[in-house]
Amino acid sequence: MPLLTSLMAPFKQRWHRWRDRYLDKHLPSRPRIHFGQQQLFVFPTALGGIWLGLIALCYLLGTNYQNNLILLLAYWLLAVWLLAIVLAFRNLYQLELSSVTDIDGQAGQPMIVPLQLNRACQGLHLQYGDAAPVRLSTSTAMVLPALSRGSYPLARFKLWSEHPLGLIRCWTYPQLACQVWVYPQPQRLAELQTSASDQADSNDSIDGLRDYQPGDALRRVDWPRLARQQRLVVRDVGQATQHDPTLISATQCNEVLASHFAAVVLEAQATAQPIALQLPHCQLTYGNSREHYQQLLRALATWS
Amino acid sequence: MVMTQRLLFFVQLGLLALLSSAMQPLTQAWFAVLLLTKAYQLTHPAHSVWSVRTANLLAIAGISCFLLLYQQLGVVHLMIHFLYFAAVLRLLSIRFQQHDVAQLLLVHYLLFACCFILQQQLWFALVVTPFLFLNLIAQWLWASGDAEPQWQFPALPIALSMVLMLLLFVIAPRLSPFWQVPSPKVAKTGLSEVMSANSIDQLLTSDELAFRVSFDDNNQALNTAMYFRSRIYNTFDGNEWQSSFNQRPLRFDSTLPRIRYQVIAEPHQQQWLFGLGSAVDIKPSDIFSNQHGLLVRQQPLAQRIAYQVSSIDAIPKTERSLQAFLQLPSALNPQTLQLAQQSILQGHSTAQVVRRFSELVASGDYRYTLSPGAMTSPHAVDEFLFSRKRGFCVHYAQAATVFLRAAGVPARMVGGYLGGQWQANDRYLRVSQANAHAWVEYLENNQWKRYDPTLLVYPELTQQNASLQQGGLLQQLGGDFWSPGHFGGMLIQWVQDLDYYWASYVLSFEKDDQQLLQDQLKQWLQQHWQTLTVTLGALLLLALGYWRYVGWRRLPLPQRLLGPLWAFKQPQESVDRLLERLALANPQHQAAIRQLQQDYHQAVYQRAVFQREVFQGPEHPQTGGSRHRHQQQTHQRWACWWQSQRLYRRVQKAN
Repeated sequence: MPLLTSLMAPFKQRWHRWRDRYLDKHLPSRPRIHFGQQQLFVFPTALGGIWLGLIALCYLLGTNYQNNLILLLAYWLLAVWLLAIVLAFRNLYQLELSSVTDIDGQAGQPMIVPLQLNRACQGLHLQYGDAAPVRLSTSTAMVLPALSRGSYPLARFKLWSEHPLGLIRCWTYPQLACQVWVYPQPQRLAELQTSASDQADSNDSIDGLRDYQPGDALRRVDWPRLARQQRLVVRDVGQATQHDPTLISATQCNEVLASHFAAVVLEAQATAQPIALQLPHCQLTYGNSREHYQQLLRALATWS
Repeated sequence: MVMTQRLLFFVQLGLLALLSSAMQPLTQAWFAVLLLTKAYQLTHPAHSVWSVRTANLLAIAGISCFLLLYQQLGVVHLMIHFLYFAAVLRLLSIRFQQHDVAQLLLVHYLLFACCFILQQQLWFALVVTPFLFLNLIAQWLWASGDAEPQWQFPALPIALSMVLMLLLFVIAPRLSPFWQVPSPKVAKTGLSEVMSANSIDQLLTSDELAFRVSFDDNNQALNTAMYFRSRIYNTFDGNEWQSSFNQRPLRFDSTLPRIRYQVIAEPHQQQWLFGLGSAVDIKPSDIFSNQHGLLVRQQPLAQRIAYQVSSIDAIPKTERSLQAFLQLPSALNPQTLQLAQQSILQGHSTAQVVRRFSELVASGDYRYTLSPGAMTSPHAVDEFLFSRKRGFCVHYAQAATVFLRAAGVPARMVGGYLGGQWQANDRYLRVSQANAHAWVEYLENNQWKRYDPTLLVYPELTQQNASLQQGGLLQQLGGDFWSPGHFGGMLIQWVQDLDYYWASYVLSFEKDDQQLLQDQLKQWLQQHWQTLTVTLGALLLLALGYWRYVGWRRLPLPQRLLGPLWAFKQPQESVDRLLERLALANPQHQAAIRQLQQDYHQAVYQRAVFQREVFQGPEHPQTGGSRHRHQQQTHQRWACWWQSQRLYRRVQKAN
């Protein structure tokens, strides 16, 4: 019904705005979220609604038959419903949810976000975006669907429980202050795969290198080559191709190139080779520690 | 999910037993077969549950079969069959998607309500309760996913729910029935429309409960003859008496003293209830007093009810023609008729006629027996009066009525109950079927009077401790143990009394009782509001203090010991440095601060020393020494805390 949806659209927008404002105010992005009264929402489920109908039916039956036992049954069902509200709330009350601050993952592959709860909670379910709801038990982890390359803050997800008797649902929308770094899928490009030995002998500027002439800008000197081979060469302007396997350098963003660089970094990590990075938004010197490789991948993730 | 299925299976098994009074043997056997199939399904998980198609086909077949039994079952029982059948089929074809289990649980709750339509005794309610909880636990398991290893029985929530239920029971408003509902078919018991010697003799040996009466004024009750009138039998055809059905309500104003009582009547599927004399004031409005002062209900009694009556010890005048009360079958009982004719010829008044009959019975060799043998001749009254002279209440009353009618005195036979057994220190009177009785009412000077010829032969009938064996079946099985004097008999007595209190306080809790209770509560509150406020205030303060204490206990030990001095501490500072800084800043309190430091060290670190000493010193037994030291340590900690409090005040004053 397109007419109905178009009529309801402005109201929906206002509702969404109000909801987002409320959520941002009471459930801001934090690394450790504490669920208090302002953060939890409680409402009966469908079964809870039908339960009230059952109570009305029993009350009717008891009144028509003037039978006190059926009335007692109706009152007991009502007492159970009222208690379920309190129990559902207390199930999630003062729960603390925390996670790590950064998650790294590959594009196109699901990632796992480890979650930590400060106490056991019964019947807890979690739903991230449009994924299927997952039951949280002792091993608490959230699986993110496959994302494309980039760096994203973790979106709001829904956490709920229908713990006692399935009558009342208690839910919340936490937002963890967790940054997700999705580096590109490693895919090496064949034509860039050149060995170092080929370049050692050439002396002219086929590959964009020529001998140093006094007056050349020192910026364009290939210093690593000097350190390795004691040759002072200068790189020509306009060469975007890179032949040095230990330096990642580029000016314009290119998905294919990014995948290639990711493959380079991962291979280097496997062999503990030092890698440096020179991108428009980030420059990193040589290093081969684990954090260094992580920073390289993150730089590739945010390359635009 | 297997656990949930098992629990639901047991709930259905229990329901089969509880609903058995609504079912016939054939249908019960059919349900038992279905439950056995489910048991087989549970024990052999390889066999999958039934498909929905199978269940639907079986449902159609079953429903048509049940409809064939409609005449026998009645509407209510048929509905119960349908509900239970649906529940069983659902369990057989259950798939754990969202709706299946939820629907089944709701139907189970409805079936429990139907159980209560059928029976309302205390033992029944106690038997239903665990199955109700079993259903609740099945729901709990299902909602928490049925895989919780750390599941514990929710005892506190269940207890709280019971308390809340009782509170709602007392507070929630009561309404009268919205519309007429069909009542379940109950076996017809008690006095029927037809009274004859054969119809009533089995009743006289049965100790089954007929009804219970409690009086407002026990003294008045003990001085009244307990004749509970139930039915009036008018038409005699030589063998049996037919009762007249008269429903015109009574309007009877009288200044005679009234007796007030409450009757709790067992269901007997008839419209006739029980009352002393003529009932003038009746509590539930669907019961009224008819032209003869008898209590009539608009619908046959199918469940236990309680009603309050005010009665006067008089019988209302009848506006009908008196011809009905002189009816006699022609050409029967000639000897009796001849005897009556003699009275007429002698010009006896009514009183004299009655006295004539009494003399006849008292002087002759008449005996009271419950088994006089069947009457052979068609002139039953003649045979009884002149040859047999053995019989029970019906024979005597019958003979008296025939004699009086033949002598021209309008008379009628009344069926009801006489006497009963006082229970629980004379709190209530238990009237059983064995107290069924028949007597006569005759018209003298346009006033109806009661006349009981059986008393001439068996005067002990009026005594209200007419004993009969209690617990008939149990006595047959257990012998002496269950007789009144012994422990078994007392147990039965106690159970019966409990059932009475249950019926009196819970089942018959009406709007007026509720109002009374609420008024009493209001009155009590008005009287005691001061003590109540003080107590509640004290409790609140205690709770607040305890909550603060619990919060304080959660703090780490150094923070607890330093108390308010903790506020002076910088985040990276140690306690020793803090105390030194304070000592430097407040030289006049230096000694106190040094003392505090020492105490602090002792209080916090001495425990390790204790343990070392315990391990090193064999002469100190572990229990005695460590307990003493533990006490010392606690004392030191409190001393430390107290000192820090005093110091804080002084330091604050200085700064």
